[in-house]
Amino acid sequence: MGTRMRRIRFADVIDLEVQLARDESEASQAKLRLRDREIANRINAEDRQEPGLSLRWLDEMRKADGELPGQRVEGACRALGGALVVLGLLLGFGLVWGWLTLDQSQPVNVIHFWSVTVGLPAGLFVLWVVGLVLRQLPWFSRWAGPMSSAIPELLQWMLAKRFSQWRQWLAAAGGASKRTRTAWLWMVHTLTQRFALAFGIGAVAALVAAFYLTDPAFGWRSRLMDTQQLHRVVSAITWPWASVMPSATLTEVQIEQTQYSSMGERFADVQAGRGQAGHATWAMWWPMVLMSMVVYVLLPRAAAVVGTSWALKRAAARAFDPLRLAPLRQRLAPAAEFRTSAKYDHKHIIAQTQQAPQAALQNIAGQRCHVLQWTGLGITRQQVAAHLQQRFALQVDTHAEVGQLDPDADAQAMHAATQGKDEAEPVMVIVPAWEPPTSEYRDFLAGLRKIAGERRPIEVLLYEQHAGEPEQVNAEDQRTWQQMVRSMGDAYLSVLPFVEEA
Amino acid sequence: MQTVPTFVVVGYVNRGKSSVISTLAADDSVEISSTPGTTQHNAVFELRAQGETLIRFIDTPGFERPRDVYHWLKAHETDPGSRRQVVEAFVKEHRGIGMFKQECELLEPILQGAAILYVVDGSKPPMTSASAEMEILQWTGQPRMALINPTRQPQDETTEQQWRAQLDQFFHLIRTFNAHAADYPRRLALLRSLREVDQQAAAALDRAIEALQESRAQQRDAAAAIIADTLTQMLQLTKEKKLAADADVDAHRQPLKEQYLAALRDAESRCRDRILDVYGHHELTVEQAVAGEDLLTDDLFSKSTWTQLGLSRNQLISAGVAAGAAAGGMVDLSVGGASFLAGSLIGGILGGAGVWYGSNQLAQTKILGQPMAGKLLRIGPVSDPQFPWIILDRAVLFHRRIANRAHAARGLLHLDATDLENVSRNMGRGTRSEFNHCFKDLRKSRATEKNQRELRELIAAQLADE
Repeated sequence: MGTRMRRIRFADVIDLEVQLARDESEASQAKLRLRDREIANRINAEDRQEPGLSLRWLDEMRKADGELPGQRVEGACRALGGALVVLGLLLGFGLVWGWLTLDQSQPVNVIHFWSVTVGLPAGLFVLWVVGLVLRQLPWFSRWAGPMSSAIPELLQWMLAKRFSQWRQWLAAAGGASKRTRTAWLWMVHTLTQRFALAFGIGAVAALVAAFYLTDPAFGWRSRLMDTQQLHRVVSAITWPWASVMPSATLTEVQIEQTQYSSMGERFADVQAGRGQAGHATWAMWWPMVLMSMVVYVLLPRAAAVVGTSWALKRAAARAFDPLRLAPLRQRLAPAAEFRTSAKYDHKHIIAQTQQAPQAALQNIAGQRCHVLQWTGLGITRQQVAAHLQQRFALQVDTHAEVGQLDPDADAQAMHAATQGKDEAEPVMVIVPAWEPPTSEYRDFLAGLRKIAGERRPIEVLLYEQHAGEPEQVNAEDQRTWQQMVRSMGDAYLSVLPFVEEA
Repeated sequence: MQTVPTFVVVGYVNRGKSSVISTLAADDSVEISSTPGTTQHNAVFELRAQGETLIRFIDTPGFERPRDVYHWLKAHETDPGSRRQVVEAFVKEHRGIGMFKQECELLEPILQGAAILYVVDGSKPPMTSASAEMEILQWTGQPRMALINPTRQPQDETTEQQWRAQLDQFFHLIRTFNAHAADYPRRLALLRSLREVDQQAAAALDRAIEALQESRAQQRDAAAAIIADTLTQMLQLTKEKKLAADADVDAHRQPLKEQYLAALRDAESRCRDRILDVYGHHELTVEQAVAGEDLLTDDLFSKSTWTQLGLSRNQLISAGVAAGAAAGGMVDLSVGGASFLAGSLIGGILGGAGVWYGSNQLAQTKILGQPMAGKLLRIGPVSDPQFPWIILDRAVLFHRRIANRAHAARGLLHLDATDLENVSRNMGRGTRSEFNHCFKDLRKSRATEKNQRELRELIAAQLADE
């Protein structure tokens, strides 16, 4: 059964780029094919769907080559993310705790406190979202592209400082880092959103801790708003939870009760201990502040963390674009392939040994000869006789057809051509030049030698034709026949083209 | 147990049996030689898809002594009904020994149930050995098909007719299949015709054809990705050289340019190697042609390449004007039309002029200041708007030639000017505009994965249209 496909990680994207860059620079395609075929043999047939196949391939490459930097780089990014989370927690906690506890001589102005701990992070979040939306527009993307890639490039520069392997990869992969720009961008977003979430968690934790441990007083003062206006603002802010958590919102009266002036008179009255009701009044703001931080800071940032992680995964998955990885897939899992289960034997039938002296046609001019013509050549006896007379000054004494379906007829023709004839009279064997000199021809010539005697000249004439007329022999055919004839080691056997070479 | 349909490729020695296998298997690593007897033992080729063997071809050594074999069979024949048994007796008696070793090797799988693909050379007239072979194969009683594979120019017009007249008496089906020139559709057509020979193998052959079609699409996608990657790489390529503050820049300019051009040529060459590999042409060598003789193998920067490939001057300028006018139109839009389309007009003029002057220079050389004194001489990326079109044309034409090249054909690649169909000039206006956008974005370092994906898809569509 196939193994369940693991999810694609950032490390996979980096390693994929590194390995593809290396493969691109590999000179021998055969080497890559061989390597990937071996890897493919180790992968189950069930795992051969994308992107599982490429992931399995990467795993195998990692096993074979520990140099791939993906896991270390991802580990470094994770460590950086962890450090940012700790930093965010400390900063968020420190800011809120310090604000609420360092100076308790006056109430905490809830307008300022809310603006810094809720308004500012929420505003930054909105800006971030707007930026993401605008990036989808081509004109904005062109304008902001260099800026948005600055941070990923800074991160890559830092990693290059930290890891020599990464530096090597940047040199080797060249522009490959550009191909993973989106993944890098989302990696940076993931880190920053985690920081922001941690900041929010730290701030909330500090608020809760300060409330229970130091009981800070929340009030408000402003020359820009009166009670009614502030009530409208508070109502708008608390609208999402007002119906389910009325205790986390304030009435106009309550707001009016928590107003203090720069003169600090009312606060002085409370400080003087004007009763329990007054104490509770100054604590009325904190549930609203707490809910604001949760709803406007924590929840959006938590959603952003989830969203950026998802986007990072999506970008990572897109790096495994099936069309882009088509060459790899074609090597690893071809839809159809021919495989041979046997290797060719390169030993040729014709051994190129025993170079024999060529003595067959010396001093034969004016003699009689005997012709054995392979059947089916389409040349008449008269044509053969005229040609031999003209070319070699030979007179044809006997003429027989050989190579017919019955091999016994060949022996009879050989006997007829040679028995009782002068051993100096050559035998001219006319064969089709286009036929390869198979064992059949070799057997024939060996048999003829036995019957004709050791010293009778035998000349193999290679016949070629075109449109019924004798034609010059193809050089390759001639060479093949010569090789075969020479390999027989017969000094009185030679081969010539029927039509003289031009 | 379901058996794998098997076809034994037989014939006289050196009649192109291995060539047929090589082309059917689309693999040029199959040994082909003009020397008779290159194939000494049966070689089994299995078409596999998803780990399953669909069909099997057996390349055989070929008949060496067909007349003697037939003579033996005739001598041992008792009645016409027992001919197959006589062939079996022949194999039993001569298997692995003596002069009929090769005949036994090729007859064995046939007697085990394989269908026969008998290959003859259609360029030469039939001889008696062929008659003997046909008789022997008929005696086995197995389903059989004859392939007329002309290895050379036919001796005369009647040669193929002579063969057909003889083959008709012995074979269920006769097809002409030039293994050295058969393209992909002919290869599929041959596989389809095998269904008629062996009806029992029809289902397996259908699956094999489907798998081969899928494989073809896979190869095309792989080639598209390779071409897109190469184009991106070539468009973004830069070369730099650090120089001392007082160094003579002009003395370094030319060597750096040479390095730059060499790197571009190298990128194209690697692209071609990868395409060859994708299509199973492992042994094929693409050699540099004499300038102007062969557009495909001519130098990338030769005059003939640049005049015959890529877009025409008019097409280039109109693309530049359109892009400039579109950019100017944004200005018009932003001022609510108060510019009376002056933005579009000026943008169009500037765009056209940019193309006119930009097409005279491949890439700009820049001298940059270095933070720690000295100078940096940089060449690239390519600014000539024609360059990506040239690369695209050459890549697509190369692909076209390779994808349709029979694997039995060995030797150099040639693309005559008469073959040439300019890809980019004949492209639809919309497609050309999409390519232009991709090229424009890819030239800049801000190119995204999206741009590359678009380019891959556009190129894949071009290859699919072929």
